[in-house]
Amino acid sequence: MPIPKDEFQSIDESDSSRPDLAPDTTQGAVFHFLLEHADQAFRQREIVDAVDVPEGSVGPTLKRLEEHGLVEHRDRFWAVADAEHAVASAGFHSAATADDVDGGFSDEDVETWMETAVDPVESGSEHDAERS
Amino acid sequence: MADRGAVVWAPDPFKTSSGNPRPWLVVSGDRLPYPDEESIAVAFTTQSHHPGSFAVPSDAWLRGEPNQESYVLPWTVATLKDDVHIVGKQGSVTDAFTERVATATTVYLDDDVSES
Repeated sequence: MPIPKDEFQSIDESDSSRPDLAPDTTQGAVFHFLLEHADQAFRQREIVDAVDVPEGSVGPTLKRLEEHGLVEHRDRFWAVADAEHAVASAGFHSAATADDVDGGFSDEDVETWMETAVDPVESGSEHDAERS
Repeated sequence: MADRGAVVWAPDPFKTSSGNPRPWLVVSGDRLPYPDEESIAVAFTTQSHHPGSFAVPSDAWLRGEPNQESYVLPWTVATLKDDVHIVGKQGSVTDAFTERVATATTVYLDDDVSES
């Protein structure tokens, strides 16, 4: 679909903003794959095989993620940047510690809170359906 | 990205083997090195019996007050990466309540025992 000329002229080619890492984007899928396998480094070919994204998009995507410091590469191998992995781990470790303290939020608790949430988490039942 | 006083749900259950996400109260301000991407937050719980926990009074909730008693654990601290961890928003609490929690958290980091 065409865009207005004003919008065209306002496009900032320097593109300094952090990429959208939502899992349904190519860069998000590639980033999350490397984050989940942070103890390994992958050839581009192996990422293409493991992640369901257009084959030709992986190379440019890795470059773009690298420009933003999200991933790094040595020789032909790519891995998540260590600082990114550190802060991602921080959240998961803290959550695990909190779950140890109180046993976690039960499905019933989540349901009760969702009744009043301003931006609800997708319901657990939908998640379960997707998983099965 | 997540404002101080916001109550957010994290982490994404798809990215961890554990179960449900939980709500967290954002206590960091915009002086963090990456304020648009990360937040420091403390855990909510539904349990009342943890020493040092704070009940969240009804009048501390600005938006999204749950239909259930809620408590925060000021020593259970997470650095949340907004686009990796946060999956939803419950609402927000008052600046005064957030300040009380943040103060409690910093006391745990203070090694000067003469104060206590």
